[in-house]
Amino acid sequence: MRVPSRSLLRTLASATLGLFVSTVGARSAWASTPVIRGDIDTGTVGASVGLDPTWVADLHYTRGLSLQRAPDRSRLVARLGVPVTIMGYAPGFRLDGGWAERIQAKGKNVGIVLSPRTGVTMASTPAGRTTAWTLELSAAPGLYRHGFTFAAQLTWRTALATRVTYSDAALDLFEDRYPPGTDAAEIRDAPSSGRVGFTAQHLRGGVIMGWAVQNTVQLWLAAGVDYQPGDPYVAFDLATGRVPFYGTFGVGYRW
Amino acid sequence: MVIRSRFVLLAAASFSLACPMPGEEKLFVPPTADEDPLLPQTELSVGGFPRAVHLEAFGDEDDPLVLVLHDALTDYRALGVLEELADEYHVVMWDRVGNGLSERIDDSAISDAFTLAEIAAVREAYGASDPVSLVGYGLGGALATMYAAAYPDDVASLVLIEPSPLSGDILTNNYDDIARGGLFDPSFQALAWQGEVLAAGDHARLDFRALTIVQNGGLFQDTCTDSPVVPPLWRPGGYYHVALDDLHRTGNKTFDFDYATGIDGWDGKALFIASTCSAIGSVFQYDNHLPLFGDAEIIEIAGAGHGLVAEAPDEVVDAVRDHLND
Repeated sequence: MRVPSRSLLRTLASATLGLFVSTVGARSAWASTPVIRGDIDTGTVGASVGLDPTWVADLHYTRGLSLQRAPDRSRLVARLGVPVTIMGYAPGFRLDGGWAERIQAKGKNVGIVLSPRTGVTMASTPAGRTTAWTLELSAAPGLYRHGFTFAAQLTWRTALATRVTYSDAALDLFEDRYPPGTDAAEIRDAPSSGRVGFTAQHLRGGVIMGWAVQNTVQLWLAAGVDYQPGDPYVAFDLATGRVPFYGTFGVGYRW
Repeated sequence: MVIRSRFVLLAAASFSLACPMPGEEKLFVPPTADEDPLLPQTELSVGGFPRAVHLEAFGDEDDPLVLVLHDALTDYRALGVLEELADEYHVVMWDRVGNGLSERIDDSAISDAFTLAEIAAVREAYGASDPVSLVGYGLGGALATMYAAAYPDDVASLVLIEPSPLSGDILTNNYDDIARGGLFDPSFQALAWQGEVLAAGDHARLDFRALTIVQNGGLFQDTCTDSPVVPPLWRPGGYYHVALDDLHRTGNKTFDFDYATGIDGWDGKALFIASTCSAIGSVFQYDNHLPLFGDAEIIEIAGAGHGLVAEAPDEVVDAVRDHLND
């Protein structure tokens, strides 16, 4: 049995390939050649662009794992994304990694990929910087054939714990609130930056389609709807900045 | 495409409740008057319910009453300079319910009728038996117009500091030229990205997020600079804006409301104070709003944007005073 590469940590920290490429590229690439143990260390890199939730570019990376229990079904996945159109105004990023496990009966084209991920997402606005530890669980049941994938995407993502660092503009909100003569000891000062738990929940449903153009190149499209429980569900509303859908296009390279 | 739904305030067991970590204090924005008894405030009945209203009055109670109405997504802190009028007038400034540091409300208490009732309640609270003067800024100017149109005998004077569009038709016809927003607007994109980690799950977080819009220059475009001057504020009324927008919006860029119906029946003279650098500045006001009034004039603040109260406070105060004294 070939043990997983000791470059595991390096894999997770490097440029990323997300679940989508692993779902698409792995199955289609594997199917183009006989599955042998040598294939299970296949790595893929890719990039995607699209609206997710704003205009974003992601780098993706996956690495196959050789596990005697279930060879050729398990991959490590990682992703690094930035909101490219606002990096000069409100820089941010998301970095996450995890596992993708494809469950598929032998000889059948129908299967499901289950994937947990965790990571860090940072967003900055004129109100301040919010940095969150995130958790994502997803399931992608669908058709996994040679050279082609069509699957549903069902995702739950949450910000488990978020650190809020206030901008000067946000701290200024707390100034000059009390008339002269107010007992200073009773005045509520501006809070220091701190942490809050479970600050965001996303439920997503969509589809992904992928194609193996050649043995080493894969393309994919993903789109769907995004719902945030408890949030005003109004498209393009300034006060909420909600975008209730997503769509991305990606390309990957496998070696 | 516009998808609308009603805002749902979180219950303790809600799926999306944000909770401070153990030992952390409450974050995001200052508490409202119902949460902080130290704030200057009064209780008004709005929509049939008592509401804690953040309010201050300046000057002699025997002097003519001036009611000051703030802009959207801001509060009366931006208009604090009008306190200078207190040497001649009894100036009352307050945060409308759902805005600033006044009590938050749900959408069942947000309507034009309730706003009229609220203005009337403030007027009654300060015992005005004579017609009052209204000074409104931005949306506050539109609401002041609505009140004067509804109660023309109760309003002696109107000062409208760059009022927001007075009707749905005006806003619809000019939307692309004046409004910020859309998928490529940087503040909207920043909010969308921030939504990955901070949802607007309650009033405090929604108001914190709305601060991004305010700091980017508000709801309307600035034509002279990418870094507009932002008047000071204590707390945006994020949900109030969402609910009001939901009330008035009929499509992606179409609206149905009218604050100016009947204003031609008010026999006073309105003063418009407008900037040269806002998309709803002097040209917009002259073309769209002045014709609606029987008698109106406009004073232009050159080089300023919609933050003109902060950019040129002396000019604004002088213009207001001169008009009130006429």
